[in-house]
Amino acid sequence: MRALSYFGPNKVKVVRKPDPRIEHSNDVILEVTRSGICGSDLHLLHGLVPDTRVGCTFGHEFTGTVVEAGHSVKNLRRGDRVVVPFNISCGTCFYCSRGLSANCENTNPNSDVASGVFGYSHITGGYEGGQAQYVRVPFADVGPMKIPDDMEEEEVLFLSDILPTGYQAAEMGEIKGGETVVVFGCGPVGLFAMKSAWLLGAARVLAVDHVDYRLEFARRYAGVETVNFKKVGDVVAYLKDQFEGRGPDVVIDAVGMEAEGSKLHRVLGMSFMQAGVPVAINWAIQTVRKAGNVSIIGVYGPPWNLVDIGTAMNKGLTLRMNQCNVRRYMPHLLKHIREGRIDAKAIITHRFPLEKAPKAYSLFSDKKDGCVKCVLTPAA
Amino acid sequence: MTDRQRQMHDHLDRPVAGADLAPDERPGIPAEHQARPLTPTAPEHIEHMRPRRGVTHRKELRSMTPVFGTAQPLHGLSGVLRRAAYSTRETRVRHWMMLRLADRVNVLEYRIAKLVKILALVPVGVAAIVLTAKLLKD
Repeated sequence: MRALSYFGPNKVKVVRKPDPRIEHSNDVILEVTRSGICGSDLHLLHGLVPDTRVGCTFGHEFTGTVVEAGHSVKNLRRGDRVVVPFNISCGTCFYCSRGLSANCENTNPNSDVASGVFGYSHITGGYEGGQAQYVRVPFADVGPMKIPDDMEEEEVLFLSDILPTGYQAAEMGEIKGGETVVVFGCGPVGLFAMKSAWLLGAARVLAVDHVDYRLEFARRYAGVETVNFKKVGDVVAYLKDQFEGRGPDVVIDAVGMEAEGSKLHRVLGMSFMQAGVPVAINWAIQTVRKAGNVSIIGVYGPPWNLVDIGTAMNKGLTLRMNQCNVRRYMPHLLKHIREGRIDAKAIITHRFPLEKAPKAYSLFSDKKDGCVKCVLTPAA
Repeated sequence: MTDRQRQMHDHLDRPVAGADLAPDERPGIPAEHQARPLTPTAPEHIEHMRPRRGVTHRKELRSMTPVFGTAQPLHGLSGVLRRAAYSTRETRVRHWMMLRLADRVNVLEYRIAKLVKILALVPVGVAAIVLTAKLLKD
């Protein structure tokens, strides 16, 4: 098969690899029909995620058609179209049975920090990803959700990751109705966090980024106010002023480990003196009002970061965070898509055949050509 | 108005505000619920995959998890470093630093292997040129 493969920082190519095969009785093999490039794939591309091996195929947001099923698979058969959560979860362990499928303890032998994840280095289990013609999907009776016959792949593709992730980010902010919300990051997860904040009853949503076209997209797509932090000087003081000098009730960090905004943190983060750049977390802690909620959904890695925990403690903040437990959100968010409350497909700005995946990465990473979301079409 | 603009305009007109205000409309509340299978078809008994060469597990685990990835098994110097990293607890900084070092070594291994392949082709190329020149001369 043809698959995108990693050959070192900022170097990916489409190469020929052996087809995946059934390795466990509950596996299925999918022919991939759509595969998104996620903002967190850029952390892999930039060589920031430990144990990213040469030859690794990225891709944890995909839909596909079942071409082969293991003998114990009950829920799926050849020809079924499915959307697959990025978490690989057994469905019955201590964590899965409590709804925390992102923390499954049966699918990642290499680290205690997360479940198995498709195409996300060996610290999440060493699984191949979906930016390929075919992919092996373990626990086929747990994760994959059938795509309704009347819906297209692209309408539901983002149920695999970024839509539930954005929703969980807003939910972790504990919006009860009438709150003010600031979202750091106008990437795809940030956009869905803004949409979700409205769904949960926020009274005011303000988005922060430094890329003008993304701020414009957020204004149009999510109906939010926007701030370009490079144009306001002290962004924390500016944001506090927007909310009566106290700051907003809820702040969501939808940026993660490659944030701009502090030269010191950039140098320390990109030279591995700390695990990524925690600027968005620190701004979130400093901006939110006392006793407010900070929700962290941007991706960070072990082992440490220079986080302003003293300010968080003294302000009495609630910090909530996790990888998204995708499976539990899929049916609910599918309903929102069907009923027109969320048009997930509308954030796709670029589509590429698999062969053009390196170009797609370059475009997305450099934020060129108004790129918000790239989708690969391996079966085209 | 383009299709995309129309789509966005229509979308913004939908009544979204507060649609999930009620806590029972929120799939993630409570964050940790009473124990039950994640989906009705989740397997009750999980069969274990058979062990594979070059696939490791972290020091804290006594054995492999029932299911695991089999991509890029350990090999070469980077494999030695990664094996050493996984024999160190992941709460230790050296665990992560060894993995990072192994990543760089792995890239270097790939580049050296690529260079060796190219260098191996040089004598073949030279021989082909010499042979062609000789044939043309004759």
